[in-house]
Amino acid sequence: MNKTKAKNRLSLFLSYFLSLMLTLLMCSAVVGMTLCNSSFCKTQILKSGFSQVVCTELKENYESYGAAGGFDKQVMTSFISEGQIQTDMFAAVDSLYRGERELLQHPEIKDAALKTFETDLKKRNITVTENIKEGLNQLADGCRLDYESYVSVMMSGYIAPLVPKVNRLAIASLAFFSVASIFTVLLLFKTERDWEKRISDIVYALIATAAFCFLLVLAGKMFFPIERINVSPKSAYVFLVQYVASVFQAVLYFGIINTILAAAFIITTKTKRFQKYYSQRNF
Amino acid sequence: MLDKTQKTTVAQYVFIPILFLAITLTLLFFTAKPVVEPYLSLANYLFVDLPHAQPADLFSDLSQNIAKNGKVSRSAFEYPDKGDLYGQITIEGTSVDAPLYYGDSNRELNRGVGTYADDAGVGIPGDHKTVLLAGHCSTFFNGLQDVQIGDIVSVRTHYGEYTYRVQDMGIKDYRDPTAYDFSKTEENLILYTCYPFTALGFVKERYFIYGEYASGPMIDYES
Repeated sequence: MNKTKAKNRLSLFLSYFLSLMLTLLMCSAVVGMTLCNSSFCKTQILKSGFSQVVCTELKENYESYGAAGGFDKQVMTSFISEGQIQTDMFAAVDSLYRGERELLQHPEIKDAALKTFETDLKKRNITVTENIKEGLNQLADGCRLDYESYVSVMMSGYIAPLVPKVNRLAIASLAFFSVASIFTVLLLFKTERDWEKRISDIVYALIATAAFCFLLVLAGKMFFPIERINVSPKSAYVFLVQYVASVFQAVLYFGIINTILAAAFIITTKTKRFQKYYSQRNF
Repeated sequence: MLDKTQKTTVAQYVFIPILFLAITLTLLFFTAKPVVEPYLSLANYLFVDLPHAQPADLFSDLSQNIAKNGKVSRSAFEYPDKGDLYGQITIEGTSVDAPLYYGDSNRELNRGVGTYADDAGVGIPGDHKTVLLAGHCSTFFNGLQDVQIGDIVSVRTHYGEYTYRVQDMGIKDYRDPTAYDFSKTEENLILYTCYPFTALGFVKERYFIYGEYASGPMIDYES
């Protein structure tokens, strides 16, 4: 009697341990699939409309510089495009995931701006003196600096050195918790001889992990209202909101997967075929 | 209907996972607490109370004179936020006739005249402070080149109408700290733009116009 009680307690403990391992496995998988994944970051850039917002912000700035520096809006906004911003932003993401701290340089923006200014002045029959040349040079440089600052991953200087470390940690913990989960299941099978009970123990762990995922998403919504984050410019805001929402979405998907697996196990054990088949094979 | 055994099974699938979840949460709470706690206070700075609002058009929405006895109660009108349109500036005899915005970022300067708002010593008309307005030399403040000493600058806002008399003007370097005085406690107006008016590219000089307060309700912060 006492032996059976002890065995039940051990299998319940193993079931709990499995739920803990699955929860930590889920956390590692989410980190690995989102924070450590440059493709995920690029997808969020596309989904958030980041390039479009940056293009609008830069054009707003350039228009203002033009109004101060004697150039029309059409001239000032002709040397940048949304496509170019997207390509350069993807390059900035790749650079971040290589662990490079420095912002990418874009001397081509200054060159394009200078060329555009000179063409416009030529059309207006204005001779470019040394004085004007210096002013144009500063204006073009201002456009370049703005471009480099907007077309970048915010705080990349701080984040870049952490990326390879987090990446290694995520891979290692993913491997560790996977092995630990499999090992716990095997141990559970060795402890518990009844198939229905074995599956019940796995189901408890799956439901607990799913509940953790749903609770995490709910807590995120309640205590981390990302849409109220105080970040500017708007491009950084839209990107961050989209990014965090997608991370929580990944957690939600893990919760759904766990729920489906748990439901599948429950349904399977309730089928007459299963009960008939394993009633003869319990050992 | 579920029989007793089935009910017990359903209860097990609910209560045991909840127990597991509670233990996991407790474990994670005590493990993460020392690491997370120092950063929690930062969360107050990270989030704003209201969702990001669009700049308002206070001038068109609420264009009325609410002044009484030369004063306007602070509680009687909405103080503008950065980006809000809150008035119109005109200078008779010149082409200056532009919408007035609070804040002087590129967004505001593309749409009209901007009000500098990043110093405690500056304010909006009626604030008993220096009102520093900026505009671009090839657009909204191009007409500043025609302003003469003694001219009247009119500023209509959503809470009252103000006039300032031009006292002085001059060309100064953009880094010149003597170009403005934010420690003044009497109402005064400074308008500035890039110089020369036909500038090409970035220029270092600015054209300043200084005006003394002539009329308009002062904001009463007491009532």
